[in-house]
Amino acid sequence: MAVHTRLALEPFDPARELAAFLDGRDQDGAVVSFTGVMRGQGRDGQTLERLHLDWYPGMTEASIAKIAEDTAARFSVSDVRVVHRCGDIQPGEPIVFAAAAAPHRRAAFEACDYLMDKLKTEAAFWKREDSASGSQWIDPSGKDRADAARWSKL
Amino acid sequence: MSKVLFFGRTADRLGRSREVEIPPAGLSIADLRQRLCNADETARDALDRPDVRACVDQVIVGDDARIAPDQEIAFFSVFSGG
Repeated sequence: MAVHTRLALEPFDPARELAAFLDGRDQDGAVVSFTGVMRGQGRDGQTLERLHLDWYPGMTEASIAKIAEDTAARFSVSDVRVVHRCGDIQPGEPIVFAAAAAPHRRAAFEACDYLMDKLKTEAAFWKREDSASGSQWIDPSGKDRADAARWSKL
Repeated sequence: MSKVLFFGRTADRLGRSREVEIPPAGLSIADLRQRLCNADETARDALDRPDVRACVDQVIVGDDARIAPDQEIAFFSVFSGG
């Protein structure tokens, strides 16, 4: 089992991440990946100029690694990979790449879903939306919290 | 002098860090928070809030935790998630 996580200070290419994750994989029947993209519209419908993800060097990397390791321990997966951006992100740029590989598809789907729910609520980031009308710090939405809470019932 | 770090909306108001003097005998987080709040009104507005957590050596702690001069200290609001 391998858990690979990386905090990216610059834009990254999700296609390359997926290719690297697939490379040489001949014992798994399933690879599920998710790419989160910076949406050009804010919580209140305003047009965004950028998203800023503030991070705590060391602590943020550790929080992502812990989420990935918890995921690997919880599901029957072979490998987990997460790449997460920080800093200033422009609309259309990838924010996160999350992938899970498993012998069978159900575990890979569920692991990837779980990874994203946890990253959206527990990763050590502070998110700010910047638009022409000003900047606004964002807390996890009720929807994000409800998505993450689904897993404690299972 | 020890450096106290700030993140998220707390850093918006206070900048990324401030220098503080921590005595060799140490301080509690509550004492440090009070000292920072006493420094100026901006610090009080930013730090005297129940949702601003303290962190020592990258572990979130309560207000009664003790800190020594060589430890890494940070204050920040709740994580937004990624």
